[in-house]
Amino acid sequence: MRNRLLGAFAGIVSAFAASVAAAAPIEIQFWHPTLGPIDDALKQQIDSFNNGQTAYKVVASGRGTYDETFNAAIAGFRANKSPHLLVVIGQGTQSMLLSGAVYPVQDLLAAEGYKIDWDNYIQPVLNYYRTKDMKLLSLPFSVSTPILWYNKDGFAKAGLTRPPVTWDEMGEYLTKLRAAGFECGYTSGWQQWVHVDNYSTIHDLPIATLHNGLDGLSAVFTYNKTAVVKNIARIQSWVADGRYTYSGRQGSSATPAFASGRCAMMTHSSAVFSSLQASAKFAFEAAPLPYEVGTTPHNSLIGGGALWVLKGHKPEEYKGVAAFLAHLASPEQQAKWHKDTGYMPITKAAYEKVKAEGYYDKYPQQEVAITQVQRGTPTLNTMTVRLGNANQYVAALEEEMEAVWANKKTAQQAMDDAVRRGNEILRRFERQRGN
Amino acid sequence: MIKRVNFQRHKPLAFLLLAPQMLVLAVFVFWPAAQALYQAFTVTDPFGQHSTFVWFDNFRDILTSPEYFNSIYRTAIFSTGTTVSAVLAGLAFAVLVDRVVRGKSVYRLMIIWPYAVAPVLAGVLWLFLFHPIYGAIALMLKQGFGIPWNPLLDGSDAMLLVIVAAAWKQVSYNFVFFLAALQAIPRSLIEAAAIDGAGPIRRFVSIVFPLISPTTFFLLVINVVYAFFDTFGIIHALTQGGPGGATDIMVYKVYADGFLGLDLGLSAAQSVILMILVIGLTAIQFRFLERRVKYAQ
Repeated sequence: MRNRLLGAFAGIVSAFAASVAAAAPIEIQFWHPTLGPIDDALKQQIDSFNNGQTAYKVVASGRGTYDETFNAAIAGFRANKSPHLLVVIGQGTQSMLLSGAVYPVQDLLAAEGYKIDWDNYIQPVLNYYRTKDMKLLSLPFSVSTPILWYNKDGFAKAGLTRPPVTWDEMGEYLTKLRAAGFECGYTSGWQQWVHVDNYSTIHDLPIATLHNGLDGLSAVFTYNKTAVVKNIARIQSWVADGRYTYSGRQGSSATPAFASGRCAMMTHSSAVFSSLQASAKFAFEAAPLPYEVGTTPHNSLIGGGALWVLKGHKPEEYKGVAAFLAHLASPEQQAKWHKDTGYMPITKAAYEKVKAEGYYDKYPQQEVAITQVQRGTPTLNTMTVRLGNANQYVAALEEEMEAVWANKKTAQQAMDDAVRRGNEILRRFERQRGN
Repeated sequence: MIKRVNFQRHKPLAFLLLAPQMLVLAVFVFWPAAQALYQAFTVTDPFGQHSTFVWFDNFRDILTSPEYFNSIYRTAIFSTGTTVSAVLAGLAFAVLVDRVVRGKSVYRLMIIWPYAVAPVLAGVLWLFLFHPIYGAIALMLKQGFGIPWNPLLDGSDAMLLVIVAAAWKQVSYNFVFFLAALQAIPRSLIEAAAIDGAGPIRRFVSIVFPLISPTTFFLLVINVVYAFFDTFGIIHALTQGGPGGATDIMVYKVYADGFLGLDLGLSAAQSVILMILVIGLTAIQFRFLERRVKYAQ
């Protein structure tokens, strides 16, 4: 009896000792939107981190769309069950910044002893997620910028040998492409991002006061007083004569309109590269977004998800979070992510690496976004858009743009209405934050 | 006669038997509803860091916005269109299937099928068929019949599309109830009318329709509630309230401002207005329509 007890005791002790030796890795919860085909690439990133060391284990959890992921995180925060890492769409930056739930990425990496030379990063990509004193809040993750995609076979048919450079030239090209048999000359995904936000940044025009909201919550929209109105009016005339075809809100409807060969040109996120590759049955190329004759183009505005670190976790867990972020930012991981997904690399080292491999000789489309965000010198107009309640003001602006395409309003009326509605939404955002 | 159970002498037992159901309702219906009512009077950030009691400010913001009155108008068109077409189509299919001799179960199955499709999925399905650039049916309409179909820019086309899509989901439900009601009608009544020389239309108007009036009334109430509350998924997938607010119905605004915009106070205030409206509408239906309903033979 006594021997048996002793044996059992010894067993327990040795089991305990073994478990201490192979301590279970510290788990790091990582909530992200499910991005479809890109989920595979994400899984590979995480596996390579988890297999490369034994102290930490990143547990990824797909939570649906960006909006659903954000809602899940809010519920988690309110119930004190936040993940360590959360992917939030760039437009949610202001909400995150004021949430009281955030541990800025730059602070975390500095506290954990990572000496990072932020100058080695592609600046316009970081700028979007920085405060006005240039502190990085979140690590850019699924980042892209809109570029011009065109049907190369269609261009050849219309006798065009290079992409259009200015918007005026774009108009002439569209007339020729229509004559060559394209029922739809040009369509756009994320039309508000392209026709208002990026049109403004490329021409160094303010979208809202206080440097697009960077300096404070009391910013008001001003794009109804800039050349944006002229741009909207021009597209209105293109809708009327058939050169522009509206394919719907967001991005999902423009891609098939272009990939099916119906539209000769499309402005859309640079990240649609992989889906175009899978579905387009013609040669397609990419070019930077056009600009106005007589202007020097500035950088375009990026968009997409960033990785946020949330407050309220244990110090040893933050060590793991920092290690994981450093892993993601390594040139190898960045280069692979860029090639696998079509999202932009965030470091110059990753870009140089991919370039040295000769990848862009084979896929020049993938380089366009990177050169486009580095055109000109960034200004406080082109750095970011830091405004709250983006889902609501974007929806209002989309509605007003539809009213223009349907010829129910002039460009000026619609932009005035969009600005009035947008400002009401910004004032509510201010009140929601207790101001 | 309808069988009745009398609890007059055992009141505690009656309450005891009701308790579980009341508890479930309290937790999942009354408590959230009370919270929504409270939220309608606050302005709060999504993370719950700040919350200010603002009395009727949210209601003022909504009721002074021209877009909200547009939304009420669109809701009236949408709900009427959806309810009427879903109930009529359900009735028509039920009457036809009731008369079918061979393959009844096949028809029945095919008509019930759409009910199993998730609203968002249904929306995506309809979008892919009717998208003006690459939708198969849209291209047929344009090239085959010369109809300039464009729900992305034409508000009437968009409204038609969301009504048909929302009704299509609900036809199955209505069909099942109508078919059951039709089959409960004693054959002898219809045969007697036929012997007296009444044709099929006369028989339907004078005998069948009055006998299924309780079902019709029930479905009318259910379908109105469906159109008012349960259709934001279809709108989100198909039009997102566009073009230019043409299909921006009230429940979609509640969803968009609350779950996408994360302005909980504004969304709650709208849902309170919507709730009052639907309660009023249902009361009117019971007050004026139910009088014409004959429950017992």
